[in-house]
Amino acid sequence: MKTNLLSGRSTILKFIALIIVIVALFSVPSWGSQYTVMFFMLVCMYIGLGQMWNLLAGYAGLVSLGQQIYIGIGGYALAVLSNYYGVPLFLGLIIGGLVAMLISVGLSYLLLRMKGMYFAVATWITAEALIVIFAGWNYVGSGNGMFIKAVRGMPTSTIYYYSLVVAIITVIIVVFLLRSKLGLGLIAIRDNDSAAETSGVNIFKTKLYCMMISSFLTSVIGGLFYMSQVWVQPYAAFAINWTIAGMFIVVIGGIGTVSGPILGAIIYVFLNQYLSQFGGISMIILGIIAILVILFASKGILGTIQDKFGFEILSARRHSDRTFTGKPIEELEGSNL
Amino acid sequence: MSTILKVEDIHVAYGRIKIIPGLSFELREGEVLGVIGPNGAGKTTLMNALIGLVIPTQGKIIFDGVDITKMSPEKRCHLGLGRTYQIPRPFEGMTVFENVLVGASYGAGRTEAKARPYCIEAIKKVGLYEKKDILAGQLTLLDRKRLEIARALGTNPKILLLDEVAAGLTEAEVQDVQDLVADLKTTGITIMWIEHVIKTMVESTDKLMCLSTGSLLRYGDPLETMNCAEVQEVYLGVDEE
Amino acid sequence: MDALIQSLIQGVLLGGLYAAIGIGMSLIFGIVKLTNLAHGDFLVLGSYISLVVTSTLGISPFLSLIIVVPVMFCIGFVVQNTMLNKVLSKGAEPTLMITFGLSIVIQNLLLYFFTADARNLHSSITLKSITISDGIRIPVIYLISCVVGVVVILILGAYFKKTYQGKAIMAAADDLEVAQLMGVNIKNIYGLAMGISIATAAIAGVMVGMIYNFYPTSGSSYLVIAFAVVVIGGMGSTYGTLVAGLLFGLAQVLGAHFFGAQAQLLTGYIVLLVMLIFRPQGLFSK
Repeated sequence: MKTNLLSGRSTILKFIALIIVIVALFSVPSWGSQYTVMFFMLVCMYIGLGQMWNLLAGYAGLVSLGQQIYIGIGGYALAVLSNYYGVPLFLGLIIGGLVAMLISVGLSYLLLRMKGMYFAVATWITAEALIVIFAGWNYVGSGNGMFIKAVRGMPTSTIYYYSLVVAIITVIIVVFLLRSKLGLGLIAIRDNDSAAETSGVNIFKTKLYCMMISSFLTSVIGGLFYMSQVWVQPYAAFAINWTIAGMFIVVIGGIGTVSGPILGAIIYVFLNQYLSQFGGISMIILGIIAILVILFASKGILGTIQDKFGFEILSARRHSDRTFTGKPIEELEGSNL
Repeated sequence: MSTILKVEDIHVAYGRIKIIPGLSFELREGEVLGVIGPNGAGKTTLMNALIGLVIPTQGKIIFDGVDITKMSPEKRCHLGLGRTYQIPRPFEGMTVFENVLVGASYGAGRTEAKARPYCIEAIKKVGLYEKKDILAGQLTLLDRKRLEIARALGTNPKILLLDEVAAGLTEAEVQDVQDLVADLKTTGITIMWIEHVIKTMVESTDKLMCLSTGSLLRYGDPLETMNCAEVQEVYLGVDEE
Repeated sequence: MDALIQSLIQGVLLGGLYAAIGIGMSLIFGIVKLTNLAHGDFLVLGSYISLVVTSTLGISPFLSLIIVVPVMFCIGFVVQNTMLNKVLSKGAEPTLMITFGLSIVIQNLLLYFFTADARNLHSSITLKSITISDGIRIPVIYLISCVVGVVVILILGAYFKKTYQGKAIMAAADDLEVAQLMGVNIKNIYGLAMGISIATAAIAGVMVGMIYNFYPTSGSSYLVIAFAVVVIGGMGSTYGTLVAGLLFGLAQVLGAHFFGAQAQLLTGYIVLLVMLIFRPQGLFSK
């Protein structure tokens, strides 16, 4: 009973801390400079990007090299909808997400039966093919791309609020997904797919759901990014750099952890901004850091720390005698089954 | 006793190599059927065909009146086919409890909350209750084999397919497994058991069949099967045991 | 008609070069069972090293191979032994990510030292061509690169069939445990295989550098070619790679011939995707 009270109190404390952090984050535009707001905005976008890549690579065992497909779709959907059809930006983000989701369903039917690196390369080639298609498509401005007229004059803080909400949503979705039955099946598949299948888990469906969620939110992030950039252009929108960023964020922070991508995104944006004055050096350093992390701390910074100290932030571990919030499951005590 | 599983002339091949060139047999409800045969006789391949990891090129598998020949493993599991793997394949990053929970929720089509008591029941039955919150990757071989059985039991199977659960265990541990199988039999589960240990097979099974190069050599009473001259020649001639 | 024949000849000749681009990747997949996402970048690195050698020593790109090949072999050996071997046991993802990381590092190092400007390797031979008829001309460099590609593959084929070392590598590819029991040092074998793989990439890189302009970011387009060749030919098949190179070269050139130059890339991507979806085991394996 005592431990129960304690864990109850620590849950409340955690909850209060979380509220404070979120309120602080929402207050950034009221005290921070334009640069600070932009910094936090980028961190939020990359948290979302990282979470979604992690959902695929870290949990569903799908090392995607094609997240830029959805970034590009998100950016272009927003541009086309707002420029040509006068659709409000917010709605444009959602519709772009739905289009991306539709595409991911189509791709899933084609690509999900592939294993490991076949899947990786196929997603990447699909993105490369989209570059060629969009660069030759007059409707979307071919190689020059499109200006998103409606975002002119929009303050950075507005886009920041959107990004913050999206980042929070990605974290919440990943946590809830992992704690749901879907998450249980997902981790089972990751650990051993044939055993998962003979235990009744439908591998295709489980992975499909992950692809859909990941594509929707990645596309929304793409839309947000191009709201801040104003100009969407095929070679940048469908560039592999998006996946590179997602991968670094997840690998450095801790693949297969919920908190890892948050830390990873902060490090990534910080290094990128700080090193940008030295030209290409930032990418070289990021690449070397990622390789070193894979070699010497394969679980990333947070994953390694968690292993060492035996705790897990936002854990999806199921206990036989209590729920995720620490509430004991009573019926077990008297169970005579 | 009615027939629960009917295998009609199945042919199974990997590429050009035919492993099972036509095999038929029946499994009656509530029975324990033992399967023996020298290495390479196609025992595990038969298991894979029954569970859906490999699809026969010909023939039919009827389970409980349903043709499951081409059904996916996950659907067969929902229908009530559970299996263990010869080399245990636990979900190593999960605890014992979570491992069994996968079977008890997905396999039996229950929500996680509803699956919990069944999950605990299965864990108790195989004797892993004390270790229920330990990571599966840290278990000993015997415990991994127990976990395999618990996970399969969690799916609420009508037929349990055991693939060499006694291999690699000490004599005392094998006795544990035999007791467990006897216990499971009383609950009405039909069991098909592949094993090399002949003593165990004779003691624990109702029917014993012997495979050789993918064909049925003998099917019947365990002792009679073992005493049959062909079986002795093929089995003992090829395999040192 | 002449234009079509010209395209066909060009496609066939490209095939030899494509095979040379893909053979290293195929080898490393067949033997070490890893996908080297930096294969194209190593190829371009070979082009740049050749550029440095030719411009400082004033020798022809062909001669520069004497230096480029051993250097690249060593790089491959070291990369395999210091990085990839360490994570092989942890499944496919870590190696995939390390080679991806290497790809980023190589690209940006090249960008840093050589800027984003277009480069190419000069040789007196690059501008010559053989005239067959008015409309049909074969550039000599295409012919040479095709011959070089075929020779590389024949030498590798012989190396794996005839030499002790080659046989040891093949044994390791077939059955790791048995090879280890026979006293084959697996880690060294893998290093050797990666060295050979990268060295062939470098040879292809020098050829490519004489035919096309190259940039620090050119690697990814060669990775696509390498991957296509490997997937069409069947992973780890030496001679399959040659046929696959021919087929892919023809597909691309014909795509460009019928649908315009832009379609060359797209045809390549689509052929590769269709192969990946419907016949990932390659055209020639059962």
